[in-house]
This record gives sequence, C-alpha cells and structure tokens, in this order.
Amino acid sequence: MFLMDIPDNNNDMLKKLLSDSKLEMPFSGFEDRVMHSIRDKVRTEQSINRNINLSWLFFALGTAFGLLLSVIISPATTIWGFPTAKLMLSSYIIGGTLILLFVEQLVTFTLKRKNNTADR
Amino acid sequence: MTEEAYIKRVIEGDVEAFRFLIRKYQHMAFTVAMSVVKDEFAAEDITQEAFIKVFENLKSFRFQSKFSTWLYRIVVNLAFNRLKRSKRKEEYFSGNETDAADTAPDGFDKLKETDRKYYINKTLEQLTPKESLALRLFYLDECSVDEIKNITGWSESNTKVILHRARKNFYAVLGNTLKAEMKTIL
Repeated sequence: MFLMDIPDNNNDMLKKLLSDSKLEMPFSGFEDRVMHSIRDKVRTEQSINRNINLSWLFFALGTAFGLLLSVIISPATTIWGFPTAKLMLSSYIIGGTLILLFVEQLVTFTLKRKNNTADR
Repeated sequence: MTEEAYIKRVIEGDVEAFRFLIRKYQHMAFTVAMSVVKDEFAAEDITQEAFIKVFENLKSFRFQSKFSTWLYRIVVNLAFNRLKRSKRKEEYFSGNETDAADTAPDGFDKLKETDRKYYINKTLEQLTPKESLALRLFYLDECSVDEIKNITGWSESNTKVILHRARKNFYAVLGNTLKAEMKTIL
C-alpha cells in the first residue's frame, strides 16, 4: 500500500500527529555560535588571500632585486678576495633553483585556492 | 525581504544576512539530524557543520531546488556519515506489519499537547533512522516523494517502501509505548 492508496483521513491523521514531532534546538546561542564560526572562516579566508598576494609581491621584488644586483656587480671585481665571477655563477645556480621552487609552490597554491573558490 | 533576497545578499558578501537562514531553518535541520542520529549533542554538531558547509558553498546554489531541500540533503549526508562512523549498535523496532494497527490508539488525541508531543517523539526515536526521517520529511515538513528522493538519495520505489513501513511501525510502536506506560501507571 503506497501513498496514493492511503485513505485521506489516515494521511490527515498522520499529518496531525507528526505536526507534534518538530523539535526545538535545545542549546541556547546556537545561532551566535554558527555566526561566530562563519565570521572566523571568512577572516581566515581573507588572511590567506592577503598572504598569497603578499607572497607574489615579495617574490617579484626579490627576483627584480636579484637581477638588478647581478647587473650592477662587475664580474671583474673581487669580494673578500674571491673573484665575483665564481661567486655569481654559484649564486645564479642557487637563485635559479630557489626561484623555480618558489614559483612552482606559489602557482600550485594559488591555482588550488582559485579552484576551491570556483567549486563552491 | 524574501529568502532568495537574503541568499543573494550573503553571496554578495553580507555575512550577517546568513543569520536569517539559520533562524528560519535551525529547528527543522536539528529535527532532521535527530531523526537519524537520535542524539541531541551529535545532532547539534551536525546542524552547525551543515550551516557552515551551506555558507561555504552558497555561491554554487542555483535556485533550481528549494533552499530547504539543499540544506536538508547536507544535514542528512552528514548525519548518515556520523552514524556510519559511530558504528553504535542500536536496537530499533522491527515489528510484524500484519499485527500493526493503522490508526493511532483510541483516545490519543485527548492527551495533553505536551504528553502527545512526548509520546510521538519517543515513538520516532524507536524507529530506524530511515523511517523516522521519511515520516518527518513527508508529514511534518510536507515534502513530496520527489523532494525526499532529492534529500536522501533514495530511489522513488525505495522511498515509498520506507514510508509504508514507517507508517505501520509508527502506529505499532505508539501503541506499544502507550500500553507499557499504562502498565506502569496501573
């Protein structure tokens, strides 16, 4: 016997009986607690986004500063007795590796955040 | 202001507008969670988690279904997941349908409202999570079979079977509860 087979008076009676089955949220302050959690989440999201933007800014500044230094420093000079040409070569290798690693991390993180926001 | 307008305001960044949705749906969302987990603390936790999830995903809400259907679906999913995780062995009523009455016991409507409420909720507590959920969604929130399908993910025939069994068991448990209560009084 499915819904359509139930006599109307029986359906009405169940409706009347079950109208008493609504429960009240027994914990006071539920609304405020949820709003508090939501505001916290929004604040965290905003701070993450701000940090990502700052990471890009400082990454760009650092890269520009590094490039500028490499142009300014003359390969013919020495620093504390070491020839700058050798120092520059090793700094290029270290700097290049770090730049690649940072770019990879930043791009991955930024895209992940963008996808998360788009999924919502 | 309509519900849709509040939702749009939240999407546009007005966090405080979300309070309206919490105020409007917290009791029914809690009732839905209670139907499944049968524990007030767990139900409150699930309701809170559901509202936070709804807030985070509100931008993806396309207004193609009712907001309540979407919210209850999240509540139901979280509640059944919690139930699966807890692996608590619960004893639910599994009566013989042929023995069950299909009306409320005589004189039930003469009980005081608070007593009626107590017995109805006690009865629903003894039904399986699926049965009490189906009954509350169909008769309390007046959801259609189609909406129950969307909320629970059950098939249409499964929804109808659960509702049929739930009605029978509801009357049987209600009768048993009242009989047991009468014995205690006399």
